[in-house]
Amino acid sequence: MDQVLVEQARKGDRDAFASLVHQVSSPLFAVAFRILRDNGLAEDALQNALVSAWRQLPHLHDASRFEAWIHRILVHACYAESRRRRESASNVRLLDLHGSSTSDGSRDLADRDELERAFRHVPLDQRAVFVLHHYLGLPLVEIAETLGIPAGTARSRLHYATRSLRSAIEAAAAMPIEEGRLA
Amino acid sequence: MSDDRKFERNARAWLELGPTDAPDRVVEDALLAIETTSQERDLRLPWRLPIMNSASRLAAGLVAAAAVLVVGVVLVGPRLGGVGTIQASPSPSPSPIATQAVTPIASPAATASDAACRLIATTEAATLGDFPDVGTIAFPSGTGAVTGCYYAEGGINPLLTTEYTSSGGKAAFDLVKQRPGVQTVADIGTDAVFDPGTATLYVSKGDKLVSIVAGTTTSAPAARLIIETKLGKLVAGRI
Repeated sequence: MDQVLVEQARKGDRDAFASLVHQVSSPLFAVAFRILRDNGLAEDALQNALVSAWRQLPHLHDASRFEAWIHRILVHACYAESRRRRESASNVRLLDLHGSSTSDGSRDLADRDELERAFRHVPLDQRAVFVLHHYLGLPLVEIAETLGIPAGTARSRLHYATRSLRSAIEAAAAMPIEEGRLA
Repeated sequence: MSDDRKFERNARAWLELGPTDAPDRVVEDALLAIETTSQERDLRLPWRLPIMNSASRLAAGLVAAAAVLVVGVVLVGPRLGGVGTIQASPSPSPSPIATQAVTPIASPAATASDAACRLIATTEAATLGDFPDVGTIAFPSGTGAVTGCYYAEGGINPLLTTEYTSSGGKAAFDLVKQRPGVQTVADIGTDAVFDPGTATLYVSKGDKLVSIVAGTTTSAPAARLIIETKLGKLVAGRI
């Protein structure tokens, strides 16, 4: 990330911030979608996060921490968006796993479908840690720093998320794969 | 799925599915919102010097001791001393809030740098906070047609931000109204809309526009709307 741009934006340069927005929007959107599992919610979370980041940027004293800082804002925007539109949670769209699968066998395909279903029952704070760890590949210490939580809390959130998902997969594995079970 | 590695591999493969590009319209909408959004000012002061050597410790200690002495004299002095010594005023001395209180804009054409600060008195802003007795201070900014005002409790905790556009506000207001999710707010006494995306209330009258952002991002937008509506009613009668 260009620290000069961050410094300029911190001082109120909207053009500099626009350049930063173009650099970070897609990676942030990808993370938001994976936490919220809904395009509309992810779009709103991204938009709110970007505006919040602009407003709060003068409080960021270390430009080198911009990426971690804006991820924290994004995750909180995801929490807020989910709370705001909790009533729409039942309408979350499932991905078309049939179309996007590669050469995985039907068991793996079914596992992913179960992951999709099970993930929606995992609390958001655990989802965030799970996504930052498994999607962005961040180590737990860095996740803790990014989210402003103790490392032990990050570890336990990852543990509980993993346990929930594994339980769902194992329960599904005990059942035969049925035609049309995928949403 | 029988082992940790297979689970992790499958989980990662599943996470790779899904969109990776932010829709252009979302980014454009965010940039449009940023155009009319002020940054929060960082007014926090370091609570101590970054490097405290023995000399600076001594200086800080002396300053603290002097402050304690002055406070002690002011508080205890009148009781210990006789007639003719320091006496408490029969009426309360004006507080920092009172001295900061502002009057409504006298002229609709006001373009002074504190024009935005003159829309809402600090005493009115202070009632929004949990610690109004700490004192709310207003900080003007901007020049010409667009001025801003930032209110902070004790000069530290951000409480309220307003931006006043004395001319050219109608065009900006029309742009704001096109944002997705923007809601019309009734009972303000003039045109007003609330943008839940930024929790900002926009109050428009003629070619003038005032944006009001109360509270922080941790507050629920609905709660912020209630506060901003109260302030919007005040502002509507003053522009």
